[in-house]
Amino acid sequence: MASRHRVNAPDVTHESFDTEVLVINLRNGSYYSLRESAVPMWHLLAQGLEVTEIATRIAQATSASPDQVLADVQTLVTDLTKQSLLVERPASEAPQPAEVALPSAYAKPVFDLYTDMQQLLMIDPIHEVDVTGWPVKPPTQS
Amino acid sequence: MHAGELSPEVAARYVEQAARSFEQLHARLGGSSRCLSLGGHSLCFAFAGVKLEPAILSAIAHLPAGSGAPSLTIMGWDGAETQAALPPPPWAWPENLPPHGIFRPCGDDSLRVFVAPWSHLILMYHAATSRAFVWTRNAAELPTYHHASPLLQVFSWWTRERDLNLVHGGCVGDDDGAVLLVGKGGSGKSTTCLLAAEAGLNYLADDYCVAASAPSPVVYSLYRSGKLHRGHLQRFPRLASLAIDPNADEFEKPMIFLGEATGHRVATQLPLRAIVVPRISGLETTSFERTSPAEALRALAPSTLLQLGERQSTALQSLADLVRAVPSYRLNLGSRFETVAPGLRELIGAAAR
Repeated sequence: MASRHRVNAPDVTHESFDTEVLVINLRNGSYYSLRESAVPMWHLLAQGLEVTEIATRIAQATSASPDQVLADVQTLVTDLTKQSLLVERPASEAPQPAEVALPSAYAKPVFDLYTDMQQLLMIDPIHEVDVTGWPVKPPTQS
Repeated sequence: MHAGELSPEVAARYVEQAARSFEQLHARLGGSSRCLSLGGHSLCFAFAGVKLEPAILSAIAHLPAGSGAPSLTIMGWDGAETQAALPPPPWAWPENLPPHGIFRPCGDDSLRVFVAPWSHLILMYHAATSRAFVWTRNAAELPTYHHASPLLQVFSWWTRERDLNLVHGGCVGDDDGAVLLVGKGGSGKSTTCLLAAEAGLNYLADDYCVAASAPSPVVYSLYRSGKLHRGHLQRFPRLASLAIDPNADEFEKPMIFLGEATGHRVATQLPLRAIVVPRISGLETTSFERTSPAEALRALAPSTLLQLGERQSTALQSLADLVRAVPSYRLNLGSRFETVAPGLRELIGAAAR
């Protein structure tokens, strides 16, 4: 597993609130709600911190089991990269640490996926271009 | 040249060629022009011939007159009436029309084209000169949803460049201000807004409107149309009697142009007081409760950004600014329709305090 990541911009856009991060994949139409410890995990992953460091920070802040937190971070990273929300950060690209609010009590990360908008991104094959140079509906379906 | 490799210079020359085509048609056939105001900007519409104008302007005829230098100039003509198409495009088409039918000949936002082959409609927007074109093979054949929400893609592109948000949402209000109802299709936005209009509230939108968070939160009406699914419309006989369906389409939603003639109050802008997430409660009486801005954004942003084919990542931040500017509520719609409008009035009052 790659140890440093970044947000898969510009295909992926996100917005943060205190208790939730909304992530939208503009390319495939999926959107996601990240809650509980997934919120600080997302921020720290997006900044390019290593998975082990993220787990250590959250475990220390919450007094949670370091092994449990590490397993949860790794699972979340797997999910986020599988959904193309995070990609591997090139070695040449330095992390961009910034202050992230950490919880005082640990709750497992929540990562909800919504796919109800995906049909909006269906592509339409261009079957014909007419004499004026513009795409037209196939004649059999007029 | 591959698709998306047109140079901006060639694109600009093509736009000039399209403008000259329009001017020649207008000189030959006559036509009309009209300027309307939206969000403090003047939008000027010019048509060659007479067939296309009503299909475009009927939904936005309620907007106040515009004045001053136009922020957007839209030129349009009907192919059947004028016997003229847009000039042949100088770019190569991709094998597959991108999602939403939006193609960027230069690979960026300098020139954007919306093609709806099934509706025989073409929209084109040139950002540098703030000019747009609308062409259809035959305005009489345009599906109903194009009459209800004309030039949607052009308005989406133009508003984004001016710190305005074209949002997927309904909007109604009273003297205290307006609420923006957000959520995906089927959440009850249109029904709620039409019921509110029937009860005497100000109507601004049922599906799309324009909102801004600064300098103070405000909503601008864009379309005065309202649409309900044909089956659902039958539950409201008065609205059904007002509905028109120029060309029934796959959405099966006849439309109503609200205004004085239909007995509805239509407002062109109101202060925004709250974001409202409607949901069908299963209970009899409509009620409301505060909710988080995160839930409001989750209801507003995906349908707005994904329906309109938005690609700019800053668009989500702009919508987030909007939900942070006002309180958010969940509206639990009751089965007793007569409780919807009073519930909304009470919500607006609570939000305005």
